[in-house]
Amino acid sequence: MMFSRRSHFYRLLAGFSVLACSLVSPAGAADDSALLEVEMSSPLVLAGAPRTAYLRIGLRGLRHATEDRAPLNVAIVLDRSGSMQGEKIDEAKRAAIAALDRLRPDDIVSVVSYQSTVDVVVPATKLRDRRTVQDAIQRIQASGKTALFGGVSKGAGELEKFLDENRVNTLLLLSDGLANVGPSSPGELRQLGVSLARQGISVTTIGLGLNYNEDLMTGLAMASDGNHFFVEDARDLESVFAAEFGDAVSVVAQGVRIRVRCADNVRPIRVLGRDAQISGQDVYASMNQLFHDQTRFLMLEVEISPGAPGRVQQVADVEVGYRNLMTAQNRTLQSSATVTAAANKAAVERRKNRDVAVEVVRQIGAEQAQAATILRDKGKVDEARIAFEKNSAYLESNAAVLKDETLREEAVSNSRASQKVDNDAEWQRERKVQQEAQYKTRQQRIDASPK
Amino acid sequence: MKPKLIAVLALIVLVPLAVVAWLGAKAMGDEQAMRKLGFHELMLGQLSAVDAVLARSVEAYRERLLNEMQPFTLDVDELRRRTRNSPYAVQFYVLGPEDRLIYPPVALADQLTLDERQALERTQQIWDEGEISNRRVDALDSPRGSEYASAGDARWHVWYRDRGLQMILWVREGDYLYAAEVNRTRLLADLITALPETDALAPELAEGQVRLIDSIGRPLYEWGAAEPEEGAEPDVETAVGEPLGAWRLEYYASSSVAGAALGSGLWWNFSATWVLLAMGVFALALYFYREQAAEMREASQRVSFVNQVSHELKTPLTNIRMYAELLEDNIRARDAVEDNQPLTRYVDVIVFESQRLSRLIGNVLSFSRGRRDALDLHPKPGVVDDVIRRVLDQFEPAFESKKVRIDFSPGAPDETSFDPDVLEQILGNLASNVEKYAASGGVLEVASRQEADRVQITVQDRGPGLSAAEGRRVFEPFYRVHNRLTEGVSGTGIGLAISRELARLHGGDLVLLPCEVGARFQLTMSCPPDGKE
Amino acid sequence: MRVLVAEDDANIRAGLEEVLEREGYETLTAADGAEALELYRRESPDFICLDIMMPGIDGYQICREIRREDLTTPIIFISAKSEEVDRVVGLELGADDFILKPFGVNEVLARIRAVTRRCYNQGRREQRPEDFHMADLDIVPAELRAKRGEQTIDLSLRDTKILTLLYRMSGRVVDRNSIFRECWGLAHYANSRTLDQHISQLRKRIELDPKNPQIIRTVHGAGYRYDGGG
Repeated sequence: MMFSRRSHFYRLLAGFSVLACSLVSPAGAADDSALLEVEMSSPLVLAGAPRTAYLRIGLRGLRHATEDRAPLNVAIVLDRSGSMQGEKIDEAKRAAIAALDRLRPDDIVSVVSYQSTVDVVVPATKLRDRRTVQDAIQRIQASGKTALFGGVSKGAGELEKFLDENRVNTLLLLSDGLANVGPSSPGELRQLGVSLARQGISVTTIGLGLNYNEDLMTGLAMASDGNHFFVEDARDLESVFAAEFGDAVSVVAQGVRIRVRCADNVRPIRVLGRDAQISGQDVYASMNQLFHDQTRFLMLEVEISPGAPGRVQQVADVEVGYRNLMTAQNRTLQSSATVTAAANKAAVERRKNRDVAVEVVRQIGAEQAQAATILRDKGKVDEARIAFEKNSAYLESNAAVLKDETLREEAVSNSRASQKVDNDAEWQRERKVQQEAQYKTRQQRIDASPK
Repeated sequence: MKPKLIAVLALIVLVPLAVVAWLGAKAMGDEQAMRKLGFHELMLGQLSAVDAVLARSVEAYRERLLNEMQPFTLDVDELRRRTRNSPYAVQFYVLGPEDRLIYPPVALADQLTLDERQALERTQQIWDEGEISNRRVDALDSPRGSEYASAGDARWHVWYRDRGLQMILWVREGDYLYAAEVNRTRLLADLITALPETDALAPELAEGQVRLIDSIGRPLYEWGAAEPEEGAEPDVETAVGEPLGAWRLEYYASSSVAGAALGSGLWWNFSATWVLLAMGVFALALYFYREQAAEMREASQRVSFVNQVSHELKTPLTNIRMYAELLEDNIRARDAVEDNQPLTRYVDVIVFESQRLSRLIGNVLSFSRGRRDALDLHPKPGVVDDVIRRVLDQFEPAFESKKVRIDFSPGAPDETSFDPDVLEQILGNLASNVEKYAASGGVLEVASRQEADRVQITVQDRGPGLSAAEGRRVFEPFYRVHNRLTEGVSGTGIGLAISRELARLHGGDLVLLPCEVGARFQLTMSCPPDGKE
Repeated sequence: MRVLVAEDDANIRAGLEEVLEREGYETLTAADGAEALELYRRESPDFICLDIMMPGIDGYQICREIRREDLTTPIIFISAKSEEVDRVVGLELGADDFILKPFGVNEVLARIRAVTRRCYNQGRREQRPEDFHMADLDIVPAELRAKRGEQTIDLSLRDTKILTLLYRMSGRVVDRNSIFRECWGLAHYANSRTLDQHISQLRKRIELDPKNPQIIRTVHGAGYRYDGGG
């Protein structure tokens, strides 16, 4: 239920974005399954001293002419520890079996279950014999501890058997509890996620109930550029699985490598909300998968030394390499951004790109919410409350200035969080809601139906 | 007799069973120890097989890292690209001459990425102190000596940080040292992928669990169906081979497996076998017992039959003897009046033979009673010489007809206490022997002597005598050793044996004395003066 | 003297009866236990010869019954089995002696005489008969013996009766019928041949020269006589 509401929210948001993006000339050709859009927070920059500006790099997945899609290579990794007993495991099995219906016979599927130990329930195989796979899933019984790391490892091992840059390689991890066999820190899981992402494997994590470690689950998803879902009620698992498989079948590009080469006089400061590598003037980032009708962003904060008014300043050259899954070709998109030094601050404000500004506020809001969460984790309940309140106010004021409803909603969310930091039980749930929301924000992803 | 038989059988049954049980238990103990050892060996074998799997995975990982390191380059951009894209390494490093770090480019500190800075934080000490670069590979380390420079000679450097194992693969190429810092989580994931699943234990270990444990004792991965109890000690453990030497593999046997492997089944088998054996032996013993009991019953029936018959014979014999004697008396009484010579002789024969028959029956009964330890004395007051005379009187007609002279020198006239029946039986046997075997000697010398409470009687004939060998065996009952009561009764069969037995029963003995001619028997009896009884 | 013989075998019973009578005893015979007890109670014999194995009441039981009323009357057991005698003695039923089958006449006589002597010496019922002398012979009727110097001569009860009668009638002729009446009893048909044979046998034992008897002299046509004197 949490998910569907959010999903709706994103679709609503998408309307605005696409409208905003239309001002920019897109880079791309007929052979591409993605469109590169590079925008500045404002095409003008106040001349004089170095100014902070934001560069938004957007990558939009294009719906292919045919209904064809890339074949999948999916590993479903199910928690069958003791805590899953009863309705949870039954719903998980039902959801997994139902999700199989969305797959084609040439898709490769594997099923791994884990408790204290790990079982490869269905080794990686083309889904020609649905029945066998369904039966195998049906036989899964819950008991024991939670060897989450082992489960992910085995799932990744199954994926690796048929690892193919032309397939969508996805690991779907379901867990309802704390990993207690094998590595279990978010850092370690993130390291694994990074490694898998570099091989083109994304890990989508589904946290079920209120007892899983959301940091671990979001960290793993984030590192591998997968999705993350908080599912409070096991009965919603089916729709979550469906959505994830829906995403998977709509992947049009993967292995996206972004390189931003900043021009002289432009200093890259940081990348908002996601992992990236800044090396001198170069910024490197990657995205694993791009779905059709979906736009994903990279927000780069830069410091521009604009020079004299009127001077056109090259900000950055952007190069994006990816694998076009429709044509099974590697493609490269290039674009660049420039700013013009302006003497008049009002002019700068007037030309401000509202979409980019909203996204910046959203990312900063997410960062601040994360900081507030960390305060709460350290037991600084009052400070956390104040931080959430401040963040709420920040979002609220920007929502007013930018006239953006999504920011207002996030302000409300932060305000709600500020009220729940006092109560441990309520906070346990709220934290998961926050993490999921922050994760979605940081994914910098807008799902949009075609114009 | 039966209790003795039962005791012997019980001994025959119980001693071997006890010995078998003892040997069995000992063997079982040995076997168990062997099995335990075997079990341990088996486990170790299994674990070392697992270790081999780990070694292969590590080797594969090494190959992958090497692939990513090659071709060797000093190009920082290329190295950065590799670092960014490598699933297996978190950071690559290059050291130039004099062990200067070329990559990450420390010289350009402001250009270092965040990841590079963090990587240097992790590894700075290694580069600064030359932990890797100072390791010159000597001939001992590498069989190929100084030629090792090829990529295959990449080596692991291992250290511990963040509560865990950190690994660097390094290779020296000319003046440069190329290194890759392992993504240890990914390495572990790959190892786990290569390791078995829940049920993938060798059949012998099916009900146990194997754990891969890291350097701080944290279980990294487990497999096997049986979850050990909390805090259980591993049954077998072994260290993982280098470079993961700080890790170890533990095997936890489930109690049922351990039990089975350590021979609870074996015990059962042995016990079952032992019980079967015991039952078999008991059955055999029972069979023997019944056979023996039946035989003994049969024997005692035979003895009792002989007894019965012998006793039944006594009544008619009494009549024959008594009436023959009455007839003899009558005839003798008429001798004076008429000539009844032949009649007297006939009657003498009847009387003598009935007396002999009485003696034989007496011997048979004595013998059978002796067999049952039922010989008893019935001492009565009497005069030994009187009894001797009475016996000799009985034999007189027979000796007379065989021209044997009886020469009796009486020397025991005092009244004393003795069993006259026993004395009569002994003397009867001796006289009967003389009559049968030594009549040729023509004389029977009997002498008695009485002193204090002993009576000594010698019976001497002048017959053929006995050889030394015969002399030794003459007292053995049926010395053809056929245990049949009816055999040999008429010969020397049991007469002398019984006589000696009776003499001994009477506190004396019957011996064969050496003499030049004929046979000389000496009978001694303990005869306390009358009144002492 | 009266003897009760209890014996189930008719021949043995008859034989014993003859032996005893020839010795000079009066005999009562019984073929089974009940009869034996009845005769014992009615006739009070001087001693009893008792077979153990008898139909009905056996010898042990009779012995026990008798001993309950009478501790002194001698009982001689007759048995084929020495074990049975063991029991009699062992149980201390009070038997005085036993005779094992098969027995000879002499053995029976020896036992009977021994018991008879005991009867006399214990001084029951009949007074111990007095000793007397006939010629050079010392007669001891209570011992059923005669002595001539060192020589001892065994006598039967009848012998002592004959000698006693002749001694009492010293110097007078005792006719055959008188001897018969006195020494054989009325039940016996007087048979001079039997008497003459007995006297002849007796003489062989007690006379120094049986052909020329000094103690028992024949009075032709009349009977026998002891001359007395010494």
